[in-house]
Amino acid sequence: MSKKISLSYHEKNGQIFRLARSNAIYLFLLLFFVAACFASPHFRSVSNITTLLSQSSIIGILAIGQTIVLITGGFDLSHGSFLALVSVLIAIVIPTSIFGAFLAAMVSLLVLGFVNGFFVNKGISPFIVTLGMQGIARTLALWLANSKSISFKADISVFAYGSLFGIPYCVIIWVILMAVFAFILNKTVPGRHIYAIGGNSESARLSGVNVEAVRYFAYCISAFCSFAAGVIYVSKLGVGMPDKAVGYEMDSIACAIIGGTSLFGGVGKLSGTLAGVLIYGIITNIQNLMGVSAYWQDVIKGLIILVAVYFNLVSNRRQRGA
Amino acid sequence: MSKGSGDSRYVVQMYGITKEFEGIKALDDVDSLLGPGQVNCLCGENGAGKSTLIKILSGAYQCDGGEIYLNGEQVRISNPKMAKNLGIIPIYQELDLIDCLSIAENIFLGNERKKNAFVIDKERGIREAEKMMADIGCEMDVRKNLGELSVAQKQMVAIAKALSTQSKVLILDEPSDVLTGKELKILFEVIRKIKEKGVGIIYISHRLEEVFEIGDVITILRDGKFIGAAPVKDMTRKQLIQKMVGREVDEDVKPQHADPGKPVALEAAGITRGKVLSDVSFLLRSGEILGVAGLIGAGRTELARAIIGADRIDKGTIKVFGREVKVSSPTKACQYGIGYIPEDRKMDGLVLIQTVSNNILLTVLNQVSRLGFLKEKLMRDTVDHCINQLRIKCSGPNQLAKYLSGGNQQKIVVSKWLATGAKILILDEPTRGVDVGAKAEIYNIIRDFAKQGHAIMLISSEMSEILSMSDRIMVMSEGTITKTFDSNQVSQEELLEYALPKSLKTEV
Amino acid sequence: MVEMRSEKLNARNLFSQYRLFMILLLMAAILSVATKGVFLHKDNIINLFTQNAMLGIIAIGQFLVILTGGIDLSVGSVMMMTSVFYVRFQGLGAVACATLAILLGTAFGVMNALLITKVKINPFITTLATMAVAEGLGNIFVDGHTIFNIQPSFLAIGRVKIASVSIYVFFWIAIAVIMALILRYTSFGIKLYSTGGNASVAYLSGIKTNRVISAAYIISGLLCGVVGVLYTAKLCVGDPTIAGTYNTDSITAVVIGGTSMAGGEGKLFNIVLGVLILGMLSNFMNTMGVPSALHVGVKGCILIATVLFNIYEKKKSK
Repeated sequence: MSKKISLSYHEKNGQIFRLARSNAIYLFLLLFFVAACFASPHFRSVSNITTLLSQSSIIGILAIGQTIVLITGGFDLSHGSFLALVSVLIAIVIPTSIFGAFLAAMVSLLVLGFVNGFFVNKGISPFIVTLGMQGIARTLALWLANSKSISFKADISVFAYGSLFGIPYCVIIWVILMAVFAFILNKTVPGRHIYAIGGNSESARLSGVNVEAVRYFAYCISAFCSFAAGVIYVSKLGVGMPDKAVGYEMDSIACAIIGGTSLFGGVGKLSGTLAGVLIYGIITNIQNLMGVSAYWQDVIKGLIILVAVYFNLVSNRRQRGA
Repeated sequence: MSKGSGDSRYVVQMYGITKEFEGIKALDDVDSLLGPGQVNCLCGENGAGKSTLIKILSGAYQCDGGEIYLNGEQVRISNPKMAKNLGIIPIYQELDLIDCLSIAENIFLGNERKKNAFVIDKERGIREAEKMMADIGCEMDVRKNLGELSVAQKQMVAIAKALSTQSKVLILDEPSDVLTGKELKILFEVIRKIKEKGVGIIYISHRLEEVFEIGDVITILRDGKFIGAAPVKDMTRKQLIQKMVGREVDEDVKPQHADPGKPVALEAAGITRGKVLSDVSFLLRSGEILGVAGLIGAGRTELARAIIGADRIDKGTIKVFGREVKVSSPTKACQYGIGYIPEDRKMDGLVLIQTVSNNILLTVLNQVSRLGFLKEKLMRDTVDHCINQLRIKCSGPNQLAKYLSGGNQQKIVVSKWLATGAKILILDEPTRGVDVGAKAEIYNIIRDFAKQGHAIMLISSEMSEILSMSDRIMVMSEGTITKTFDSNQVSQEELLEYALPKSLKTEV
Repeated sequence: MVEMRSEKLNARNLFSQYRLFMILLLMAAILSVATKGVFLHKDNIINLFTQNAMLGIIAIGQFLVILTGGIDLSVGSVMMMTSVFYVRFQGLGAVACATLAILLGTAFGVMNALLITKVKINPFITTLATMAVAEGLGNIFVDGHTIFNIQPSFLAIGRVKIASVSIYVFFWIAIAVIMALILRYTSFGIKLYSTGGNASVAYLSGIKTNRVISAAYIISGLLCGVVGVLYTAKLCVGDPTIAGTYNTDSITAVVIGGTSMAGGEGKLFNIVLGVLILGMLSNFMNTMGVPSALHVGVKGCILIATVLFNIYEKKKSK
C-alpha cells in the first residue's frame, strides 16, 4: 500500500503565488510597453520598434553570457573590454581574410574566457578576476591598435544593418543564440550542472559534478557571447575602436538582474533575461526619444541596478529563508 | 570483540575504531557490525561518539586506528566521494540536495539519463524518478523544485537518490528531529521497503521509542567507548538508558542546594520564539550555578541567544535584578550586565586573527578609552588582571588568539565578559574541546565566580559536568523546560529521561 | 600539557614582514638602473611622491573599506564628480565650493553606507551602481565638457609648496599618519579590525558593527571629495573623464600592501608602500617606453597575481 503525499492546501496557494511572481517580469514588460506607447507617439512606429530591437541585440547577447555566469554564482565584468578587443582584432585581421578575422577574434576571446574560469577556480572572487581581465583585455585592445582606431575596407555592415524579410540580422542572430543557449541550459547535462553548482557547489561536487569544468564552460560561453556581440558591434561602427564600449557589463548585469537572475546563484532563466533586455531597451529608447541626456541615462542606469538588485535580494532571501 | 577479518555476510564491519581530536579521544576501540537488510541503531548521549563514528564511515573523517570491511573486503575510506562510490550514503539534517533543481534532477544529478552524450532525456528521468519514489512509497510530482518541498519530503528524495546509485549502506542521522508523527510513520515504511532490498541502515536517534520500533540491533556508545550491542528484542528501555548513562558515581559531587535567600538576578517569563522556544520561564539567582541540561537541538543555545538579544523573541519578558528590560541587541545585554560565552569559540567567541589583548577588551572598549582614545595603561592593567586571574597561558598579550590552545582560548572568551563586570554569565558548553587539565581549571574559575556573587547559567551536554557543578538543574527538551530540580541530587538516568524528546504524537 | 605556538623568528618570517620594503628597494634599484641613475635624483623622488599623493589619499579610504571586508568601486567616479563640481559654480568662491564638493563626496559615502548596512546590498554591486550614478552626475554637472576657465583662487592650493615640495605630499603623509594613529590608538581602530575579522563576534561583543562599517565608507567618500578638489586645483581643469584608473589602482595598491580581501588584516603604512610601488611601476613602464595604454593591463595582471599570492600565503599558514 503506497501512501500518496499530496499537495496540501497551503502548497496549492503557494503555487499560484509563485506562478505570479515568476511571471511578474513579463507583466512588467507589458506594462512598460504600454506606458511607453503613451509616453511618446514616435514609440509605436514599426521603424522605432525595429530600431529598439536592433539596438538591444548587442546587450541582449551579452546578457545571455552574463546570465549563465550569474547562475553559477559568479560575475563577469569583462564584457565592455571584450567588445573593444573584438572590434580591434577583426579590424586588424580582416584585410587578410574575413573568415580568419572572425576566427581569430573568437579563439582569442575563448582563451580569455578560459583564463577567467581558471582564476575563479583557484578561489579568487569572480569580481576581482573579471575586474582584472577587464583591464587586461582593454590593454590588449589598445596595444594591438596602437591606441588608434583602425579602419578597414571590407564591408561587414550587414550584421548590424542588414535584414532578412524586414527582420534585422542582428536580431536574428540574437534570437538564434538565445534559443541555442536556452536549449543548452535546460536540456543538456552541462546546462543543468550550471544550475547545480550555483545552488550548492559542494553538494554538486559530492554528486559527481565536475565543478571546475562547469565553471570553465560558463565563462567561455560568456566570452563567446562577447564575441558574437562584438561582431555586431564592429559591424555597426565600421572601424575597430580600442577605447570605446566602456561599461557594457553594467548593462548586461542590469538586464540579467531585472530578468530575475539571482546574485546568489542557481536561479535565472534566459526568458526572464530577454524580458529584462526588452524593458531596458524600452527605457533607453524612450529616454532617447524624449531627449534625455546620455549622462542622466547613466545615473538612471545606476539607480535601476540598485532597485533591481534590491528586489532581487528580497525575493531570493525570502526563498532561501523558507 | 576482537579484531576480525572480512566476512561477506556483513555489509559493514568496523573493528577497533579510534579517533582523537587535539588529544581527546572521541572514539576508543569501537566495534560495530551491520548486516544486510538490518537497522542498527546507534545510541548514546551527546559526545558519546556517534556522529564521529558515522563521519568516519562516510569518509568525512579518517580514523586513527582500526579496520573497516565492506561486504567482506577491507576498505580505506579517504573522502566522502569515495564513500559514495562504495555505496555508503549519509543523510544528514542539512541535506546534500540542491533547492533550485527539480526532484528528478536531484535524484539523477551526476548520473543523468541521457539521449546522447550531452542531451538529457528529461522524460525518461521523470519516469524513472517517479518509479523510484513510488518504490519507497512516496508518490510526488517529480517535476517540482526541491525548494518547494517540506523537509520530510526532501528526506524522501535524499533516500530515493541514495537508492538510485545502488547504495549498500544508508546512514540516517536524527531524521526524526524535523518530522511530524505522520511523516515519521511514512519514513518507517520507507525504511522497511529499503530493508527488503538488502540495504543496511545505521540509524541515530534520541527518541528511544523509535529505536525499539524500527531497530533490529542496538549499538551503545558512551564517552567514545563501545559499551555493547544487542538485538532490540533482548533489551528494555530501562536497560538501554542505564547502559547509555553508566553507573559510575562521581566522588566529588557535593550535595548542592539552591539558596532561596539570594537575590534574583535574572527572571525570564514566557520566552517564545517560533517553533524553537515555547514559553520558557525560569529564575536565576546571584551566586548560584544553574545547570541547563538537554540534548542537542533542545533549544538551550537558542534560549541564551534570545536572552542576550542576538535573536528576536516573539513573546516573553526578561527582568534583570527585578527591573524589566528589553534586550534588543547584544549591546544592550552588555549594558545590563549579561555576558554570553558561546558554544563555538572559534566562530562565535573570538576574533582569531586578533591579539589576546584586543579580544579580551572587545567588550569594554568604551570603558578603556576616553573620547575614543585608548588608555594604554588601563588596557594593560585590565588584560594583565584577566590573564592572571584566569591563568591564561600565552606568550604575551600581543600573541594572536589563533595560536592558543583550546582551553586558553576559552579562558579569553570568559575573561572578555568578566572585564565588563557582567553579573550574569551564560556559559554554553564551556569545556567542549578542552583538555582535562584545563577543564579542571575552568571548573574552579566558574565556582569562584559563583562565590563572588555572579549568577551563572551553565549549559552543558555532559551530564557529569552538570551534576558536579550545579546548584540547581533545569532540563530542556524540544524548546521547553521539562523539569527543574532544586538541587543536584539527581541521577544521570533521570536527567536523560527528561532530556529525551517525547515520542511524536500521531496526527489523526 | 599546554601547547603554545609563538611566531618563529627566522629568515622566512623576516622576509614576510619586510617584504614590501624589499620590493620597494628592488624597484628603486631597477628604476635607477633603467634610468641610468637619474631616478635617484632628489627631484625625481619628490616627484614620485607628488604624482602619487592623490592616489595615496584615496587608497587610504579604500583600505578602511576593505578592512571591513567590503570594497569601494566608486572612488574614481566620486572623485571625478567632486572635482568637476568644485569648479562648476565658481561664483560661490573657492572655499564654499571646496566645502560643498567635499560634502558631496561624503554624501555619496553615506549613500554607500546606507545601502550596504541597512538595505544590505552586496558592496560590490552597491558601489558599482553608485559609481555609475556618480559618473553620470559628474558629466551632467559639466554637460560633458571640460571646464578650462578657472579662477586663480580655486587653483591656489595646487601651487603651495613647503620646502619646494608640493603641499599635497604633506597632506598625504598627514592623513596617513592621522589614520594610522586612529587605527592604533583609538577604540575605533580595534572595532574596525574586529568587525572585519569576525563581524558576528564583534556584534555579539556589543560593538555596533553597522556604525563601524558605515564610518569606513563615509571616510572613503570624504577623502574622494578632498582629492577631487585637489585634483582640479593641480591640473587646472574640471575634466569629467578622469575617473579612469583610480578605482582599480586604489584596490591594487591596497592588495599589494598585503591587505586581505576578507577583511580584518592589514597595516596602513603598507598601503603607502603599495602606492609607491605602483607608482614606481608606472615610472618604470614609462621609462621602458611601454605605451600608457598597456599600463592598465600590466596592473590588472599584478592585481590578480598579488591576490593569488595572498591567498596562497594564507593557505600555507593554516
